[in-house]
Amino acid sequence: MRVDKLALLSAARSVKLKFLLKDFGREGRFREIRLIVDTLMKNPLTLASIIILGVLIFIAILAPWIALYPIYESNIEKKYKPPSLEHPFGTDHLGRDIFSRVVFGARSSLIAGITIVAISVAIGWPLGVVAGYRGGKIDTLIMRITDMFLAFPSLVLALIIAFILGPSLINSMIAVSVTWWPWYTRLARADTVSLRERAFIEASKAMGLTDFQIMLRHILPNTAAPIIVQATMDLGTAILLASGLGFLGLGAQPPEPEWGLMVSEGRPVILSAWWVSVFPGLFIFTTAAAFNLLGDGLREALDPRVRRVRGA
Amino acid sequence: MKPLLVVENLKVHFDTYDGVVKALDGVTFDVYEGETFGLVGETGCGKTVTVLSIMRLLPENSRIVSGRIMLRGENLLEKSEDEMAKLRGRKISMIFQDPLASLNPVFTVGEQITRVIMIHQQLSKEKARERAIEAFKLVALPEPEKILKTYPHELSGGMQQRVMIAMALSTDPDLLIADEPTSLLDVTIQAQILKLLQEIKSRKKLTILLITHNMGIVAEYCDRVGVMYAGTIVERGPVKQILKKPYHPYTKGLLAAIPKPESRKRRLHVIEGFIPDLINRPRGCSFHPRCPYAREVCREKEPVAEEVEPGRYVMCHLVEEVMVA
Amino acid sequence: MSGFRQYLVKRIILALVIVIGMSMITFFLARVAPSDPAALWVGLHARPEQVEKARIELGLDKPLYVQYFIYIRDLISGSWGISYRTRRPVIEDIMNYLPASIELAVAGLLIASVVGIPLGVIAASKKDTRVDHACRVLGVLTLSTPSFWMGLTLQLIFARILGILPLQGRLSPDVAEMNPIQRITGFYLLDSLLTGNFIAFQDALLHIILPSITLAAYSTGLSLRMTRSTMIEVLRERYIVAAKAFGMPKNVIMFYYALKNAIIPTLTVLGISFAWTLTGVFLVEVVFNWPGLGTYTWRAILAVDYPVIVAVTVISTLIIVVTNLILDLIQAYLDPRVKL
Repeated sequence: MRVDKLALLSAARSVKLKFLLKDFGREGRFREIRLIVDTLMKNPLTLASIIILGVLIFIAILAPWIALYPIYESNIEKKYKPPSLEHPFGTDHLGRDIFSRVVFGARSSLIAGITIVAISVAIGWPLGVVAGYRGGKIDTLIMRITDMFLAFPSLVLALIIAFILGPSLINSMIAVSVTWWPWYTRLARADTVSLRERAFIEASKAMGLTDFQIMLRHILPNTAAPIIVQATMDLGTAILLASGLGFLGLGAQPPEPEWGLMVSEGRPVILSAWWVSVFPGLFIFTTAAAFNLLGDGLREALDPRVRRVRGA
Repeated sequence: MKPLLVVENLKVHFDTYDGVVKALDGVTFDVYEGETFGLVGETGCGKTVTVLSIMRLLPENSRIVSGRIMLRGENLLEKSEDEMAKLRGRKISMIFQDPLASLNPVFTVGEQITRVIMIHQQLSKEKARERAIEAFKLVALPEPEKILKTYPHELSGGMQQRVMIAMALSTDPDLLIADEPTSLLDVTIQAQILKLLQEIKSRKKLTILLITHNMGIVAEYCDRVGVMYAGTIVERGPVKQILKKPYHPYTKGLLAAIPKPESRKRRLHVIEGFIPDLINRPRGCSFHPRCPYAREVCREKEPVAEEVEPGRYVMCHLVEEVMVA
Repeated sequence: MSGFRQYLVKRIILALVIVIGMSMITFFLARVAPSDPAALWVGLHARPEQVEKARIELGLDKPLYVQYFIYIRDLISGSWGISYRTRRPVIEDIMNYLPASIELAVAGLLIASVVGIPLGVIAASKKDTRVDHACRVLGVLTLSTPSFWMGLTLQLIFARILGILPLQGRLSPDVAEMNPIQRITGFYLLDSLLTGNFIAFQDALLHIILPSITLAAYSTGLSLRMTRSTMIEVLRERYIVAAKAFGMPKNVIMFYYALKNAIIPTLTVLGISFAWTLTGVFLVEVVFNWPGLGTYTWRAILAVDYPVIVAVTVISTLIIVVTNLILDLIQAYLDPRVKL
């Protein structure tokens, strides 16, 4: 072992230090990215999901210009009109154009999903890395807290927080994030634990890098892959949860054009005016499906074993 | 002596993202009954691919492009998967480099070996258990009954490998393929395991195909050897002769690289260069970029295996020249 | 196996800590919420003195930690307060509604596992073939469907348009009148069978079909995906190649050898499925008007009904913690590598 360390030290010092360590950790970065993108493009389902998400983001950003009618104005004479050229998705119980509302609803849903996942990842990922890398008491403490939060089904805690803070879209987002970060902690920790035994970490320590620098520059990037995959799929589930809360009346409140809320508004007239519930629900489904497919595709693309096989 | 196994001009390609990897580019050798044949070469030269081809256990992205593998006159490459499954573990057995990874962690070793025995020989569980104990005794495992109940991770590396050997030999196969069985073990255990194999070979009628990267092991334990480089066998023949008088420059380089304490030289001999890119193989002889004797013809034409002495084959243009002259 | 016993004790203590921790958090959070429980208790048109009186009655004038201890004491002794909305003891309400939710959850979990797990195994064994792709697409579809929307659509198709399945509830009103189910366990399917009440059994069965399928959808996709990736991991291991080298036939490898390796992660799958099933129960109950804990809690939240919220939180935490504990213990028992 000693001989190896000496050899590593002298080898690393004679070559450009930073580059060597980076290569150890990243293995030729740019080539990897190209590989990932190529693999993604090859799968037709993944390609479709990327396109769908692109369209969705486009719609969300340009909502004010795509929407046909004002979304908050009621027009009682026009209520419950079926889909037509004038109103592609029909109108709801207040005569509002459903197509326009659905288009604006894309904003709330995408923002909700991204916020929830972003917060969860921002909290959970670093915590998991710290827990996995440091071990010992810090690890135990973090994992105990994590277990405690994992014991709650997310919807229950979300309901409670909605109850305490009052129902609104923002509160429901906070509520769901609070329950989700533990998953990322667990994921990151498991990955970190297997990483910290690797030789390049020992080499970094021998170089004199502090724990913080090692965690930041080496562990964090290397644990990114499963986190990204999970986050993408969770975006779909997050949108499902947010719209679920909206449906229950515990998320976005009327007259917000939130998809889940719109589905519940159409519930009393589902027989006669099916379009009020069906279109928003369809959008929820498509968005969630696109994220899930993308996550699936990413998982395949980021899996190091799937892509390269050399004979031995 | 009759050849038990004959591999003729085996070519195997792998389809990868970066291109087609031509892992084996015409491998030819034969293994006689009752001998230990060594397949030696650097990591990546194709040793494991060769034996996986014999066992027909190659991964999905592989293609056997041409060649024949004859076991007692039958071409294994033409057999169906079912037929191969009957042969594996019964006529040909294989043991692997990492014994811990090759044993299922959630079953006891007893359960694993008795299942193998029961699959190949229709025996009752008790009879199979008895045979298992016999097999454990064969490989000199102490307290065989106790070991039956242990889990793989509870045994030492040497004992794990003995268990694997016991499993492989429990059905009295004709051929045992050992893929670097000792590379991960301590040096002292290495010697034990290899001596054990020798002993068993002399007691039972066993032929061994031994893969290794260690010329020392070849010298000590093999009768004949094939030196592999970049997917071809560049030299093969009886070990003693090759050690005394190597023909191929690669073999010479390998032998020269073995550190000798009594040598006066200060520097270790090194074969310059790296193993070639198997996707874009060099034209002509695959060794020519690193060969100190390389000439024009080496860069142009691929050499053919020439029988320079009875039973000695070499793939090198220089040798051809010597022969012609 | 004293190592195992140690592990058991450790896990039980941990479980208790979690439950206590959660009850504390919920309690304190509930108490700091903006609405005034005393006012809610007395109703909208009460006079200030009535609100004060209620406050003292409810013990809301005492310091927080005293309230908490009173609460814990009451919890353990079984008196969980009175619902502000129904005016009945919370524990009575819970006992009434819990079996309905459990019955639904079990049905959903059963369907999810029976469909999802074998499909995951098949998809893994036929990786990258059409069967595999079909299974994965099915998994994604079920994971992406909003349960409330699916419920509504199923109601639309099967109850309204086709008319072959009931729209909502656990039992048709006329069956409840004519052939009421004698209550033994509270599980309609079980009780009706036990008492030979086949008319009610059939009716209850028809009623549970749509809700349980809706509930099972998400977990099915989850189980399929997780089982598939577990099996693929196992099948890549060296010992599978070695098993083939020893001549083990493929079906023995799939269903005996590899399966045992996959069982342990499969238990994890079951645990997660269970957690998501509990999440989904809320939405499904609301859509199908299922008289279970989900609908009860939903109404409680809308009515700011403190005691119910806290009680339900404790119960659901308890259920999840206990279930995870059992699963963990089974896992530890099965895996010989865990150093107990």
